[in-house]
Amino acid sequence: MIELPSVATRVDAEGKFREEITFFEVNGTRIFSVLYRPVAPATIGLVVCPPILMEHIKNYRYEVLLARALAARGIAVHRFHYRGTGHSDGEESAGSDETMVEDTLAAVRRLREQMGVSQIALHGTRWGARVAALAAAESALELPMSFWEPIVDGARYFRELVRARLIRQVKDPRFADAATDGWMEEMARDGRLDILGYPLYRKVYESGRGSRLDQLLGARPCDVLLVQLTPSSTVRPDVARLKQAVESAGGSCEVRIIKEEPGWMFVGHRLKSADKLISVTAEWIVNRAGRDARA
Amino acid sequence: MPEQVLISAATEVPVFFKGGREDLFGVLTVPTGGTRGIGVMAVAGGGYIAAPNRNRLSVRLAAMLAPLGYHVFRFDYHGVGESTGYIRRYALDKPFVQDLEAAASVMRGSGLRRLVCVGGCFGTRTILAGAERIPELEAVVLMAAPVRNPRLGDNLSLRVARKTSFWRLARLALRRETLQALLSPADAESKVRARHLYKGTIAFKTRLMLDRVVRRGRAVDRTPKAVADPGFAHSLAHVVDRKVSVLMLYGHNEEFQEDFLRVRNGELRPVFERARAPLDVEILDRPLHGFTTIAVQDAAIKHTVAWLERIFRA
Repeated sequence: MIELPSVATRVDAEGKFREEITFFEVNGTRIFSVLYRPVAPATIGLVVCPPILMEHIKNYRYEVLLARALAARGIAVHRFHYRGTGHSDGEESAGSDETMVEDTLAAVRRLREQMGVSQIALHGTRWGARVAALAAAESALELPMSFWEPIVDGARYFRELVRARLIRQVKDPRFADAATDGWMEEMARDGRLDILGYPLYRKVYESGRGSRLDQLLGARPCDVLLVQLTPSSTVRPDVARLKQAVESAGGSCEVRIIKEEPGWMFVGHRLKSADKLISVTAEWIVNRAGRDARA
Repeated sequence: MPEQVLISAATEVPVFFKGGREDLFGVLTVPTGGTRGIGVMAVAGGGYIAAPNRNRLSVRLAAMLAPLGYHVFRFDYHGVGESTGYIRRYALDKPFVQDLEAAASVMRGSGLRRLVCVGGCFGTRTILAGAERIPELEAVVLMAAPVRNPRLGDNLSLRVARKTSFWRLARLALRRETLQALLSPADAESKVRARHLYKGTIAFKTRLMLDRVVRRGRAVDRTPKAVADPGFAHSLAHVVDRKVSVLMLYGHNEEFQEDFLRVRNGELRPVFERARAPLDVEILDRPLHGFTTIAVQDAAIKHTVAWLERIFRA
């Protein structure tokens, strides 16, 4: 057999950055890691916290495109998969807030070590926003954060997941074999719930159901970009509450609305406004980072 | 079989490789124990699903196969996951053969000379169409393989025609958005699709209304007929004639299975009759297409591993 190198690299077609894909270890588990290294030495770096369940694969491509857009503009980026998810090793059932935050902080450290960046920002989508906020709180640093459709209320998120499962059971009798209203029993019995082919494990459920992102972000000042995808042009109440919490804590919060129904549960559905989503976010991160650099 | 994934009996090697003008990405799982020299390519379906596949199906398959000595390569099509490029749309009659061929080159480059392909839905069409260009192919596992090429919109036209009243349909047809899609589409392909959808819906609605009058409400099956796509039939025949072992896995009570069973006893009968290598069909007791339950994912992995072990032990 022929030995292959343990790091896969490619150079962007325009020669502006290099991508390096490898696995790095966190507590003995191999974590999938993609570093985007701009040609010019970067001072600013972004760590991307992915969402979980079906939203992980749904959002996968947009995170790649965001990272490439930022790297082309001179920002170093680190994408990774939590242990037990995506390409990473590990048991998914062992995943919890603690492991996801631990993986995120390890990703931050790796970005600093590999790229020598002095400033770090975090980006999170859906559940990833909560992980980013928890990691920022844990690190005790004032990290700017950009969020796509953050989960504000953990309990509500889980209700929506269960509702999606129930709707499928009602609409399609072939899936009606799972207990319609006995999902709590299923969780207790199996330690997990099958949400459209993805396991929601008890550990994640229990650590997340009482959590509120507004309380988390309202504890200390931070700068946040909130991107809301919605068919209407009004700010959703949960997003408004989040903005208020950030501002009450002395931070700044910009809300951007992109008119689109994201359909987070539908994996095959592609976002029509992906380009706008990425450009709005990249713009904010570059400007926010530039402001820090000037200061 | 373990439900969790903990790949310890293998090394995971990330790889960028060229597929046409694009940089494609994949992860090669290399067994750390004894190797059999057999490489399994996990080929994703449509729907912009990245290499790990739904609920890490391909990662879990690798975790099961690596301790048995198989190499496993999961990769992203162009425009998906870590690969570069863009997919305008998935078409069953235009599978991503170039990507599969490039993935096979990675396997050859790793010293593997016996290859297997495992894939679902769109991935099965990629496997069958690409098989001719992979002489080392010894076995294929085709999960929920669509035998016909429903033109995009066939099922949608029928569904809309059934569920929508004539007057509502007329209003929908005259909406600004509908007319815009017809008269000034974004590109030529969108124009063809919009016209096909528009014409198909009108045709189905007319037939349904005529049925109501002429047949006095008696039900008539207006579902598009299951006729095997010539490309599918040809490719399957080619694979069978090469004595490549084939496992066709379908889920119970789903459209693809029903289509397959119809053509199995019709157009595909000669192919099944002349097969000299295993050409097995297994039906799981639940819907398989899209791998939308954990139970069916587990069953698909279990059947695949057991079948490969049977084939390669022999």
